[in-house]
Amino acid sequence: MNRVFDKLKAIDFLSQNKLIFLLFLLIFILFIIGEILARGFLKLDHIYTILRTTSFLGIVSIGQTLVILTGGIDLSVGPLITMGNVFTCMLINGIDANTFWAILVVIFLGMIFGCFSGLFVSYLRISPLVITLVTGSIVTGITLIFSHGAPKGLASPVLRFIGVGRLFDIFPVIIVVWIILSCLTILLLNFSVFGRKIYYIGANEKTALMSGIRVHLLKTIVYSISGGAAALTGSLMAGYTRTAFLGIGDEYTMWSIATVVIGGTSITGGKGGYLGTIAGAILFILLESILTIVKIPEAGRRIANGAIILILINIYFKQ
Amino acid sequence: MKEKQHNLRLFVPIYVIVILIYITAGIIEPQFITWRNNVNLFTRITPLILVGMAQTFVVLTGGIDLSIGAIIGLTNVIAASLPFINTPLNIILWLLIPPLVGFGVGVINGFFISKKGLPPLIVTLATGAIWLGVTLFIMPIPGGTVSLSVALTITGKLFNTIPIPLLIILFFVLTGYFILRNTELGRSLYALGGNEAIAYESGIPCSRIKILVYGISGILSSFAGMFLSGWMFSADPLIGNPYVLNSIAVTVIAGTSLSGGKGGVVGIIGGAYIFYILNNILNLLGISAFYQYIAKGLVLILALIISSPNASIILKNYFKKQSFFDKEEFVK
Amino acid sequence: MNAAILDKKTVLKMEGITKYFPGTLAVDNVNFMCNKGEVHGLVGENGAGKSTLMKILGGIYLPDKGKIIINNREKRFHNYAEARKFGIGIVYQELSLLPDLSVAENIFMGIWAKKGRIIDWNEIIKKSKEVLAEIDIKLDPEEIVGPLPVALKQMVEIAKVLTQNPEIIIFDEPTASLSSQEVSRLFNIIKKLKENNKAIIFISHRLKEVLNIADVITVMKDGKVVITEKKDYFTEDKLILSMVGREFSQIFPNKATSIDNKIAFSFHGFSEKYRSEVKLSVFRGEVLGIGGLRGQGQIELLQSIFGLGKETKVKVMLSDRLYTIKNPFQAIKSGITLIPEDRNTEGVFLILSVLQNIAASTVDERKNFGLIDRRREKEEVTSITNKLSIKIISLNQIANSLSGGNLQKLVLGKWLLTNPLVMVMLEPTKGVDIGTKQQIYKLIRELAEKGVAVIIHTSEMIELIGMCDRVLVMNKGFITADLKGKEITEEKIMKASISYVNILSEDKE
Repeated sequence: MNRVFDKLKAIDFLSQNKLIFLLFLLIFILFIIGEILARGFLKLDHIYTILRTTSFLGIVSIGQTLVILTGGIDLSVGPLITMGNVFTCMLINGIDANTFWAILVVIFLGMIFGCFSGLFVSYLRISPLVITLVTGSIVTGITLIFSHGAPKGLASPVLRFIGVGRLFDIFPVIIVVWIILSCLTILLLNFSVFGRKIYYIGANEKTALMSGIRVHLLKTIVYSISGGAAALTGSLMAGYTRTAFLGIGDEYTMWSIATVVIGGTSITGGKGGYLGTIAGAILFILLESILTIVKIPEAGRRIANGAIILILINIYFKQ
Repeated sequence: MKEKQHNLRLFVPIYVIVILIYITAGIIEPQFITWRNNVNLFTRITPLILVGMAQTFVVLTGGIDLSIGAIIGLTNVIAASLPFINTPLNIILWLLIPPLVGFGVGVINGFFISKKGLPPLIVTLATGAIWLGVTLFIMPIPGGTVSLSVALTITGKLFNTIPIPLLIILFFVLTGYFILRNTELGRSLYALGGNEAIAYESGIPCSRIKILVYGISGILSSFAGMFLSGWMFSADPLIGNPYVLNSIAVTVIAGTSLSGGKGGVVGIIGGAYIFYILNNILNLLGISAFYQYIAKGLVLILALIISSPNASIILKNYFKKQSFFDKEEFVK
Repeated sequence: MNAAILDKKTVLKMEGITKYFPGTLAVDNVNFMCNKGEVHGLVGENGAGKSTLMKILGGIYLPDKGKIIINNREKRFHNYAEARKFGIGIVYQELSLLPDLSVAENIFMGIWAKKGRIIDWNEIIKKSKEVLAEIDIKLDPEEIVGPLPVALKQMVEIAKVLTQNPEIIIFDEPTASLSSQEVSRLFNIIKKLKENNKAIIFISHRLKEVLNIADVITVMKDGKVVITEKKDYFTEDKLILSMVGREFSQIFPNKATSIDNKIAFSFHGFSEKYRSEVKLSVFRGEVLGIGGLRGQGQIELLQSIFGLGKETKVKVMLSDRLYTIKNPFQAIKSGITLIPEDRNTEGVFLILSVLQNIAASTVDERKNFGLIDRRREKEEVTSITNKLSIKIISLNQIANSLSGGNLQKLVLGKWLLTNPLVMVMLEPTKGVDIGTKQQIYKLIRELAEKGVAVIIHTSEMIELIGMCDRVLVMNKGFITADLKGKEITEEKIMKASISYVNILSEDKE
């Protein structure tokens, strides 16, 4: 009887992680394909370049993963990244000493906007789709107004170091930052009480409420985290791009949703996790690089983005 | 209450607000009530009304269409890329091809949502991205052109007085109203949105209707795309982008519930007006375009708060004095 | 089966119908017959199989074995629309009306009268008036359905069913929310339908009513047909005996022999909806029942004890301390728990595991610097699973693979882990098999003996009478009767259900 018991446990484990295993396999395959198409693809430097871009996507997707796990969606991350990017440059203005508090202020702003969305979703029961679209629009407006349409300012040397520099001359700092944040996220989702409650809310919000979980409060927190993560991403990007660019975050709304979906997290909530999102992010950027190598124009890449999401939800939804 | 009362309650407030805004705006900035400004307004809100109707049809069934912007862009670009410019053949193609494309694209959406049962949000988000890509592929930067007569007609006046856009608006809204009120298709939308299981049990062909409604959304979006091509005399692949949020805004302001089963198109003209009037006023007052993003957002938030049932409960609770417990003493 | 049916025209024959669900045999080789112009009553406890049998007849389930024969022709239907085509109409307890649409439109949903391709509203309104007149109802067809009282909604539902000209009409628990006046009106309609040669199936828990209206009665128990006889054969006691198969005392554990005067829990609340004041107390060791017609404020009352009320605050007294309850979180912290009526949407997380389900209300208790203490969690959940005999293969099993009875145990287990002081139960044995029912009854009695204040609300009269030491009957939002011990009878409960006397105002001097 015990053997049957253990066997079944094993099966449970596999089916949940089967997907992630497959995704990493796919990543491995894509790397090989990349090398075949362009020698030097697998060079460490190139892998680092890919992972750098992935880090930004990965950090903003932390928030999106949490939001989608609760059964919602955050369409304001794009504008928030732009805001983070623009405001960080403005506030730092090239001076090292400003860096720390500028990033802090930007994260705080992001969280405020996220909290705003969250309050509407939780207490007024307004569709997340609509309210985050609205918040995004408002953030776009605020960004334009404060920058007068022409963002000024510069990233500081410290921020540049984070964006493009290497720790001990080996590991790109931004990737290390992502790794640290990923570990924290996985710890949060899989091991903490807060994380467990997120799954309860996504699985069945009514039951969660009737079980004594403070659904409204937690959902508001989750949207705040998403806002903060998006703003942080934009902030760190300034280290990569040196100056600010309007619209830099625009594509990340779609992209962050794509990575979460690819990673196997259910769009209706309650199932999935950040490990899948990590795989999804790497896969996504890999695909983009390969498409670039094959010289597919931007239009084609957009089509590929949408097609991936469509194909994958078709497959995942059956389960 | 009777059905007529129920429906009136839905859109009378909107038109009252429209009238109030008109009067207020007219006092602040007299230029606002000139005939010229109003003709201008009709032209500008025509695409808004078309997408508002598109989204309303879909939302009535409890779904949502986020690919409206992409479909506008696609049809806009196609409309301005047709051959045989300035010949009758071009005009015929202009009239036939974009709507077919819009319908086809919409039906594809409907297929995934209806037959495969996938959530409309993600499906239309994904297909929107795909069609935007296709559009950029066809025309990476603004360009193209339409026949001169098309452009002149769209922005012209019938008998030199009645603006064509106004006629277009009236035609579509009245047709839409008629369909929703007096056809099986229209009533089925309300049933679907109200409770799909009950609709199914009543013998309504739910999957077919779902596919059809996304097709209708696609066709109406294509009309918006075509209109824009005539008005701008060229095409812009990204022209449709703001219309996703705009279509939702107009739908909500017009009184249609996002959860489905309630609402209609009667309030759409009023809703589009309110939405656009804001921009118009800001422009006339010389306020920077950047503030429009915020204004748009705030108007929509206001509309959402007003239509949200929770809001009234929270407000009631806030203002009500809980005197009951203070007076009575607790009995052991 | 007793062939005690006169040779009227037999319109329906169900032969050898069997239906399995995971974990139970819901319907076991059932034979059932219906004649034109006859009312066939169907009774049985929750879980006896009568709802399942009717759902099979309505095309909602396909039988695993057996035949359905209508007018001498065998039929198979895969959905309700098909069943309707063959002359079956069902008036459900949960009505199938769209609240935002008009009466007329609901009646003709899907079968709109048309002039060509255009809907002819005048015709629809006219026909609606005709149908409603047929059943003696004065109702404006253009009214929106939503705000109508339940009794009228039911009439619309009946009108809707009648427009399809069914030969067989099933009434599933139609009188649960009706006053005796409304019941008389319903019975007149049924009699009229009888005269029009329809075959009527009448399902109800109200045995007196069944004895009144039915010509033939079938009793079901444990998925089988126990007996089918003409009405004259039965008395209420005989019915009950057939339904439960043994003496009352053998299903329900013994009630409390003496209740001391210590109050375990007190509640004082004000209902916005009914503008009424409610006070109730539960004494230590007793099981309190809340009865009355459906929709009289019982559910609102019990939900507000748990912090779900539409009024913002509620005051309760527990173990001599006063608490204000604003939401479920506060309720649970004070020791109050609620077993919801619809466990699938409010009680369990169907896509999560058994472990996660049972641990849901106590995750905070097992915190270790914000992290979950997995070892302790597993221990506590395993011990509850064993105590309640929940049949599972592994704790990681996904909840939606469990049967109704086991799911209910999940909900109970979740709450037991919180060491509750108050347990409010709404329909505790709905959709639960007989074996689990008994276990739940035993558990309820155990909890009461331990000092937990147990409050039950159930629509099953037998349960109310068999389990409760005291029953409060509610009507129109206030308490109309406080019945103790031997006073708890169906008659007294029914009488109080329509009384307008507020016993609370009588107490005040």
